[in-house]
Amino acid sequence: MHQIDCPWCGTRDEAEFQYQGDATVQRPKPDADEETFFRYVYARENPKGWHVEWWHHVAGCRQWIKVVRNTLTHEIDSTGGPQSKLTKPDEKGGTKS
Amino acid sequence: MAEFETVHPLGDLDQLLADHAHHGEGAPGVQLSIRTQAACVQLFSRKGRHEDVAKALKLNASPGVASASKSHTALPLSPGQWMVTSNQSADRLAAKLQAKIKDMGYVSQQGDARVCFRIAGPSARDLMARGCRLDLDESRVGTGFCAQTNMAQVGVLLHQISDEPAYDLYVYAGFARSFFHWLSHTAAQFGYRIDKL
Amino acid sequence: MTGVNRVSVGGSRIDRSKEVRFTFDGQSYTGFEGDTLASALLANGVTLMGRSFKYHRPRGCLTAGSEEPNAIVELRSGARREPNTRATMAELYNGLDAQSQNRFPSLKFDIQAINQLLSPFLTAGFYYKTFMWPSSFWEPVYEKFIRKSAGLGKAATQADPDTYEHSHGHCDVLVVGAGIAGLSAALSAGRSGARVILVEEQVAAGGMTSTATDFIDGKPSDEWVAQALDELAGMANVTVRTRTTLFGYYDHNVLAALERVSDHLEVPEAHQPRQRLWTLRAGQVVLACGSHERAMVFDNNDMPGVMLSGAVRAFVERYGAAPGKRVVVCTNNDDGYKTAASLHKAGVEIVAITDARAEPSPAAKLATAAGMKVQCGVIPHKAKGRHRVSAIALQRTDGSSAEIIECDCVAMSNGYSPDVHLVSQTGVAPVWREDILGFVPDTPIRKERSAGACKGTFELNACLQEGHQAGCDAAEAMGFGSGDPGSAGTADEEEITAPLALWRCPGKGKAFVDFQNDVTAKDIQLAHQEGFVSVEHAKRYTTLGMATDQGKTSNVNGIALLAEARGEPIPDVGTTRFRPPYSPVAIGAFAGHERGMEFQPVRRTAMHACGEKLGAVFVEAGQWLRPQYYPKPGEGVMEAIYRESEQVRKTAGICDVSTLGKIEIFGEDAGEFLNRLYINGWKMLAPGKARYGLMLREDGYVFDDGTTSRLADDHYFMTTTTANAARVLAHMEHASQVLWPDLDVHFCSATEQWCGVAVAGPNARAILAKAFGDAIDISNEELPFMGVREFKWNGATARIFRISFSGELAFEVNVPWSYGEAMWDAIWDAGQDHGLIAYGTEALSVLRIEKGHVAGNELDGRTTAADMGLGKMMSSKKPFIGQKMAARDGMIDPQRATLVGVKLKSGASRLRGGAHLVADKNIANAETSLGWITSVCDSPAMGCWIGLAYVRGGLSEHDGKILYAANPIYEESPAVEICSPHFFDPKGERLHG
Repeated sequence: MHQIDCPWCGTRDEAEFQYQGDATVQRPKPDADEETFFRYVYARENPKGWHVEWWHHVAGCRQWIKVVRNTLTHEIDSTGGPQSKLTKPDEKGGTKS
Repeated sequence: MAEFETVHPLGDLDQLLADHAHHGEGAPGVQLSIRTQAACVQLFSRKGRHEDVAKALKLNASPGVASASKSHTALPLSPGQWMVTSNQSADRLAAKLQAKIKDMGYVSQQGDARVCFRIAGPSARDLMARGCRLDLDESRVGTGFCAQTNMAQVGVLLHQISDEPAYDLYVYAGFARSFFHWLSHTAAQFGYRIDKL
Repeated sequence: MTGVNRVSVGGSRIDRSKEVRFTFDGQSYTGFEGDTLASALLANGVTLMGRSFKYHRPRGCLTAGSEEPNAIVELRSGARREPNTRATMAELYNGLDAQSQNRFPSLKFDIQAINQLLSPFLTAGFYYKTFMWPSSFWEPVYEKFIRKSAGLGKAATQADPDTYEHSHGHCDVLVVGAGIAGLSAALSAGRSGARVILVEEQVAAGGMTSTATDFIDGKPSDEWVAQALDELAGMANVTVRTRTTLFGYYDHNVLAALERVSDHLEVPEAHQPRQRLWTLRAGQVVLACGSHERAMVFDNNDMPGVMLSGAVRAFVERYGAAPGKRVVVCTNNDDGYKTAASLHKAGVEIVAITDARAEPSPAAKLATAAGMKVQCGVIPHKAKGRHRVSAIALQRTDGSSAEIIECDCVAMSNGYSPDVHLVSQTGVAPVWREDILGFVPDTPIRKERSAGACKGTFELNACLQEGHQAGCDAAEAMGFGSGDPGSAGTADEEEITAPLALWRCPGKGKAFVDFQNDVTAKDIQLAHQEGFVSVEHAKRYTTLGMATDQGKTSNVNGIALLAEARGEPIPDVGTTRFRPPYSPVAIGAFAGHERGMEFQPVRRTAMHACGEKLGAVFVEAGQWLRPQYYPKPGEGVMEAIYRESEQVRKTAGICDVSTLGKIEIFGEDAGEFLNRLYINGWKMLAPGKARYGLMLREDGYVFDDGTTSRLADDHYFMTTTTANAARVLAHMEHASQVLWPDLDVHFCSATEQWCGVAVAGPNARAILAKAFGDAIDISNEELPFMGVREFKWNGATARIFRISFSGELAFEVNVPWSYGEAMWDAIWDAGQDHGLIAYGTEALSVLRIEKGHVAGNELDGRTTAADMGLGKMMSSKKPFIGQKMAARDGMIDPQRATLVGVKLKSGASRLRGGAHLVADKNIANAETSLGWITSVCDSPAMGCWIGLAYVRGGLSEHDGKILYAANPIYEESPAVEICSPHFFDPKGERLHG
């Protein structure tokens, strides 16, 4: 059972959240071409290790929060609001792996 | 039109109270109350006016703690949103709030959408632990603590109203009967009394 | 006196003043309050408690705790029958009714014991070698045979009358196990000021300490334990839960424990659950869960009366129940002497002590000094006896034979394996320690630390110290470093001498490693011989460690034997990873309250009682209950639906539409927001007007539809389908928070703030005018089609919408939830002179099918707006979600299946949803399918069965043609005519009336 630190509500149980997938993809501008939109809708990395994910706090503040989580160990490094810019530990040049 | 009356989502409350008059031996561990006079208005601040609205209404803008005035209590829901509760009429409350915040935000009545259960008594915290995943220990939270969470598969807006402790739980009206079923079933082990406020 | 083997010394857990009557296999016995079933049976001289799984060999209890592999019994009867319960964990109560399992016809005479003669065929991997052919035997013969012989107990066939519940616990420091190390940790953490939960599986604390040999702070250990518990009870920040098994260690320091609230009672006390499942969230965890003693692997080591040394001690000290009158202790370590001391104190005869080690340890010398006969360098060879051990044949470690000693109990100890189950669940791989012959936890991954025997620390003093330090460290990690943890207790004890590795006492017979799954030393050799050399493979091939006891007493013996077979050191073999649950947990405990009426919450509308009063039959729509139809007395389903839909078009009907999702939207950019969500335009919608809107997902398929009204310049009111209400709200939150945070838009669910009715039919206006009187003018001039008004009704704000799903003149009226019944009644009363009827979701569906309106059946997630005939709604003047993907070639292919109407012509009495449309009714398959029927009804307006369907090429290709609705399930292929989906009043004249 993940304990997720919602930036608004504090640490809450994963049962309050809905996992909403990859938070690294950016919605293209409306005039972007079909291929770009196709990649936005369908193309996803499936990383083993650190990942930035959307978790929707449906039973709490109803914010879409960002979570930097290790898909292998389930460790959570950081969380932030919907507009936060979060960095994965392995991109910080830190020692975590 | 003949006599006009509104109906509580739990139906005939007097009947309900009679059916659940007293459970268990000795002094009840839990006092359940159904608050019938709980107006709720959801308050939104417009983009960038979060602080202004909080200031105009003297609201706590940070999460997890309610701000109370003589006439109403505001529970922060998410950035720029509060649930304002009061014993006065919802219409009057909504009008008053809108007048104070002018064009800085919006109000939406939610009083009919929610049913408010109050849980008090010596076993209140134990009863809460049967359904609530949050840490409600006195070393962590006290009077004024508020949170949105789930209990018994139902979304609740929780507000600790005293250190006794006592809690107000706001649940959506459609779920009220199911939630009450769970609540009364679970409270029976402590012995409970029930009334309406 | 209750029982021939009850001793007067010891019995810390029993109350000798309270006799308890119970039965085992129909025979009555008496025990004491505080006994377990196992201890009471032993006290009564009963050692035969079960039959083994495969060979049906007679078995008694091997252990005194939850690791018990043999004494598995069925408790209670009828609805409360509970199979596969360990007799060593079942606390006695008056009237307890227990049955042995896995035997027929009786425990003493079990027909399937003949399996022992078949044992050459039942060796390792026999599941994989037998029952293979002929395949026609799989189900009728083999499965029945396997089920009958492989099963343990029988589950109850009636519903469980007891309740189970969940509860949540939070603490700074969770201590698992209330042995000496655990108590010590709880004390220091508690004294430091941390919030502590201490859980203990047993009914009492103290763990494996012996009152005969262990002294702490100058007191017998049980006095120290009692004092520690008193101190803990006095701390408001400490909670002690006994009868609570920590069975799962999950991510992020969330742990699960099972509290046996009422298992020790005949029936739970009023309103009490039988069991409580705890979810514990801990800042830090101290694992002090002890160790499991290993059996010596010698021939017939499974004979009743052959038990683990620590268990023999526990039975004597805790329950005053001696497992025998003449005991031989066989050990390879110092623990055997503790047991001997215990038995000696209780006055039980110790015939001999054999110690595998050649040199007498200090403990051995003490025993000799106390007059006990100690034989060093001696190990068991073979147990003799029939249903109970009567003698033990010994051998020397050099292979020469030794004497045969008559006895009725063998207390064996092959060393202790630290209990690494929980730490292994966290992903920590245990590492081998040769000095203690056991696996111990490696560096923690989670916020946990081990202390005491589970870490390989067996000396009492070290346990006290280590527990104390673990409690201090855990408290400090949680910010309680400045608290005063006091000091650790100290014990007077002899130095412990290392055990001697003894994985197989030489012999040719059956020497059991895994007692519960009947895995012998030979089976492990065989598995290795046949190539299953990896520990994970050998485990599955032999089923070692796969029984309900998870191999607590057998794993290390098994790994060691596999290492021997491989000719490698033990660490190279490694362990298998343990998974939750630590010990079996009843499904009822996992379910908790969530069964029966509490399985899922039910949502009721504000007007539920109005529907009930009119005799509505309710249908589940998601969690909602909605009136499906309102049968009159004697009326069938189809007749009721037909009557309701016919009557709406003749006079008027009222329908509860409260379940539609409702969302209040505010903000100066609300219109722009809607523009981006919906495929159609919203900028031109004037206040006081409503519009139908369609949303796509990002992938271009249709997501949801509904009517949205503009109530003020910056205030809109959206409705969604009942099914998608939550998803639409989440979608909007994503859009406003993630995609376009710059838009000034705010919204909240108002689904339960407002309840609503639809009033439809030619008399709708007259009825509502009468119901609402002067409150609102709903004339066509004041409230034209798609008009919206707010008005005051009896002090409440009401909203009326001139919208129609049925194609009739229709209105939807919303009032606050608490006004729902009053509104329904007012309209109902007003409608009595106007032929008003109530209609349910079925008639609602008939009416919309007649109009060709899409609903859930058509919005199946695979259809585009154009498929539904709504392609023209897609604005090209603005961007919206799904726009780009909806323009892909495959999405605009003219050969896509698009919405049409179908009329039944001949070949069946009705239409059925799901039928596939084909051109040749004799060739119906995936290749020839042209499309499928989504919705059907017996249409009063059209006088025949009609339906909506998706057909490739749509109307332009098939209009007026005959196709066949193939339904292989009903073996029918009626002829249908393809037509426009707008069956009734295609010009829409009626709704403008």
